[in-house]
Amino acid sequence: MAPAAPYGGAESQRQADLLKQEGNAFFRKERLSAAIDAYTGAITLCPNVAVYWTNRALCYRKRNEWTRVEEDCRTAIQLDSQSVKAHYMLGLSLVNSQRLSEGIKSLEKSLELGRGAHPASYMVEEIWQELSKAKYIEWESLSRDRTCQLQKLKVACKEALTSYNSLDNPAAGAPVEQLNELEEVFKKAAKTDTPAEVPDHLCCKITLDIFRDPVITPSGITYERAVLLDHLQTVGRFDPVTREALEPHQLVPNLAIKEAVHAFLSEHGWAYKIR
Amino acid sequence: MSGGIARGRLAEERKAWRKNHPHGFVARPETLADGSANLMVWSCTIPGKQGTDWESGYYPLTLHFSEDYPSKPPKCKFPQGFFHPNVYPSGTVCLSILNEDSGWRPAITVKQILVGIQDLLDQPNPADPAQTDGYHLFIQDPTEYKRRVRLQAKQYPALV
Repeated sequence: MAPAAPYGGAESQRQADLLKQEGNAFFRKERLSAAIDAYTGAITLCPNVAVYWTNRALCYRKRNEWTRVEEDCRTAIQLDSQSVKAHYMLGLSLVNSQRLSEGIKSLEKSLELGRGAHPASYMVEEIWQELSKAKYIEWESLSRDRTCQLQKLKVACKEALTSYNSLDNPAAGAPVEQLNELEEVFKKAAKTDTPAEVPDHLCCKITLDIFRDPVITPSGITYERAVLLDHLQTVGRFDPVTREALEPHQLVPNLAIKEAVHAFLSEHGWAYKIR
Repeated sequence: MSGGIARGRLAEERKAWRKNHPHGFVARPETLADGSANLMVWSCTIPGKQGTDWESGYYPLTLHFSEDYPSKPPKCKFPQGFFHPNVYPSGTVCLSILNEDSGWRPAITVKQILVGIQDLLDQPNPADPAQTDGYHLFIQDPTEYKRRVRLQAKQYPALV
């Protein structure tokens, strides 16, 4: 549907908004081509509204047209640098285009913005899931390379030990004791890449999962922010463990735990794996 | 959002249980007709404690989790008519840690619930009776109470 010729500013804005609503209705019915046309009409009338670009990007995302998602999101970010959706979908498009580290940066930015705006929203959860997936893929790739390098190095060390020992006694290989020590050294070197348990102090008492956005209550217990806010809203205004009265404004970010989690995840990328 | 929290937490509980759980206990999500696991309902078995009248019995228990778990405790049910002072005729267990207004805390795990119920079997709480039969015998006729407990243990032998 071709948009009407632009009128004055206010009229264009009104027309563009109607087209956006039309696009939203088409999107809900999964009529993506029609939705894209409607959003394109809105963009033509008012190209400086970020939401029109992110809405169209959402349609392209549904169609896995990642190059177009990236283009629209970059434009949206130029118009509104605080757009959670734009940073999020830009991150997704970059990850899907195999540009992992760039994508991770965008996803991290969207998570930071999302937590600032709506810490308990479904959007924040969705962003975290996608970020975790991307980080896990990144870790897997790096881990594979490290394992391969370690293996090569181990073989080289064994050969060097054997040839060093055979200088004295050509018939003898490397002593078993030395080979065992070598094995131990390489086992330790591979430890950070070996999935294990996440320490309890880095896990929320409610989710039993690693902290993402930890907050501490006046009673000194740390929880996952979104989960605790959900508890305060749906169950009651009290600390889930001590049952002391608790209001949302009393929650303080636990920066020490957040830092510890960050350090742990940097060392042990396997912990990003989504259950 | 709560539903997601409940399922996520139960997935973690399942993982932790498979890694390590007390000897003789069983806890697993029920299997649906299509072969998938229903994390919201767990079928469990609690072994009677050694050296008590409950030993040699392996008691079936079902845990029903709501979408509000772990903010709200699961409902724990033995078979209907289970003999114990703190078990309602319907089979529902009456235990302080399972009461959302008193002892329940979201940090309590499935493992702690099952061990808590095992402890309750041989240490009933007369201050909180849930059935007439079990309560009266426990208070007034300890010998008959013990006999009934041992008889019930025979009804729930180990599944080979």
